[in-house]
Amino acid sequence: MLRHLLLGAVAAFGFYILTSAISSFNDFRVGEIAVYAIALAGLSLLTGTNGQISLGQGAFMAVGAYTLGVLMTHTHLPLVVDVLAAIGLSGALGLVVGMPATRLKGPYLAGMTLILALGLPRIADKYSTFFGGDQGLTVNSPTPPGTIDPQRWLSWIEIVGAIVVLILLANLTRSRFGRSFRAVRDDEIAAGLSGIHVARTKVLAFTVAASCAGLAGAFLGLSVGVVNTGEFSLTLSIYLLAGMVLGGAGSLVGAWWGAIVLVFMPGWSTSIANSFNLGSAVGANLALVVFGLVLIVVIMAAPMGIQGGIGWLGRRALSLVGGGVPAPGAPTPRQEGNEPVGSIPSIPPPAAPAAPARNIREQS
Amino acid sequence: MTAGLSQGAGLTVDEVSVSFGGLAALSDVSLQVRPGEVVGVIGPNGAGKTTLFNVVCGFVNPQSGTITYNGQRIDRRKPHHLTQLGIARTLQGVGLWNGLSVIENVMAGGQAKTHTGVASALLGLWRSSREETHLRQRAGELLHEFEIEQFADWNPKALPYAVQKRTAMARALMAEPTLLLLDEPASGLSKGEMDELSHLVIELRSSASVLLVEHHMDLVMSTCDRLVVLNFGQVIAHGTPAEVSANPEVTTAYLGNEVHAMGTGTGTGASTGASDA
Repeated sequence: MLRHLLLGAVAAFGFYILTSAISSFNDFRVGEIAVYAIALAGLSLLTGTNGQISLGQGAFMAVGAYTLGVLMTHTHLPLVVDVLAAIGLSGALGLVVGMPATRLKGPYLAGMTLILALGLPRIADKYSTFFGGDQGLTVNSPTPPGTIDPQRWLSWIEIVGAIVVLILLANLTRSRFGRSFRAVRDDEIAAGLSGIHVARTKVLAFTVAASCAGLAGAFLGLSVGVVNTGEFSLTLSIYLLAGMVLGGAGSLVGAWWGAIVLVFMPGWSTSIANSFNLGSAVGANLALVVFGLVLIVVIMAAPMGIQGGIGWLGRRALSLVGGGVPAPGAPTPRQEGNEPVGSIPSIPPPAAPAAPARNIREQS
Repeated sequence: MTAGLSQGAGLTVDEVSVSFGGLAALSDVSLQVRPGEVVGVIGPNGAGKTTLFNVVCGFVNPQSGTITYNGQRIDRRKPHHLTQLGIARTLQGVGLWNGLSVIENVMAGGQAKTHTGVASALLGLWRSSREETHLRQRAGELLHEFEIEQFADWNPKALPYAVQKRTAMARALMAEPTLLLLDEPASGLSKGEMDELSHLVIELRSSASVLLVEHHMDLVMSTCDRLVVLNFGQVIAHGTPAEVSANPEVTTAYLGNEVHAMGTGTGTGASTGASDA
């Protein structure tokens, strides 16, 4: 839809300015943010919008990355074909995994996808001659036209990819499918009675999320220059799930916040460790601790994550401007856009935020 | 009403039996809802009313017997096929999706009428947005009819129960059903709201037949053409509301043996006796 295209164009322009102004290393990090935003947006759709908890997003990223790696090592297809194959294969795997997943809920689904996150990378270890073993597969980043810095060029590709993915997902969540995703999350019986094919809806969400992960994995391979199992450990899947919740489950804008946190958190925690003269063993693991703490704080303060908190602050400001703070627990009208009203099943629903000014005026 | 009914227009439940383990929830239940007819299913708690609905909706498969709608077998169909057949159901309670606004809840009820594929939805193609506009417009009309259009963008959880009930009803009607199954539509409503509901049910007749499960005898008596009384999974009486309320077996089922003498006073007596569903 037009609105999403315009937003995408504005974002692309903003990123163009940003990447042109910063160093090559920071270009790399901006590219990483775009990569994680793709993976998180897919996961956010699956878990936040459709209510299926998945610890397997990292595994689907591995599938995307290895598809790219294998194709680059053994064939000479254009990069676009490799990347599309990565999306297609991980999407197909998502379809296959999504089918039994329709019968599982909450922790059981988390358990099943956990096995995926643990097991899939082992396949690459087992068939190490084909998948490159510990060294992994070497991936060549695309050659930029003219004198553009290769790192900057790759970042641009990743950013454009992320923007395209987010536009597509925004279209999808605003369509009847988005409604079906949320309806199935909230009440499967009512969804079925309204003519929504519950199982098919769940499988669709799984496939879309896995396709996103596949693209993110392929991009990650390009960024790092090598694909090996170490990159796709269980920690990655857990990071992704936590980053998605941090950014705001079910929110596509929240995926960007989550991605920013995921990219910068390790650096921040390392500098914290250094400033306190903690050992390198502590420094390496501090990221997990800090991440856990941040997650707890965000869930307590803003159950809908960073994006939910920003939305709440915005409505709060609007209602102050629009004449007084409404009574606590006032009805919560839905806002336009992709802000979720519900939350993923394991997280308590947010306290009803203040009603925005426009509805107060309408009601009185 | 009994065995060997014609498999013609409308809903026909023929000799349906359901048991859960050793417990017979329905035994040889038969009933028919002809087009334009309002049929009420009444009976004490645990009589099998909701099980009957669940069988018709495909949540429960019958062990024996058949269910047909307009001559088509519908037992063993999945619930999501119902709206395509023209059957919509409201749930006990409201069963609204709290993550969707009121109007989105109603729009989702029109699922059976949508044809947009995933690809055109992803790309936000004209076809997809045209269908959305159409759904939104139709849902808006229904909200207007139910006088709840001012709540269109609200979260249903935050609204009064009566508004939620209307939203649920609007969602069911969004599918443009020819048969509407109402599971306790009056529960939690005030006297005035119940009167509105009975007007609505009577109005619905022109477009759809209605099968309703209800404890409030006033509503049942004022809206239904025919009643089917269930007790312990069996049809113990059927007929017009007047016939049924005069039936001593019905009084016994509801109130026990002592109160036979109450006769036609059953109506109000039974509603207080069984309203705590």
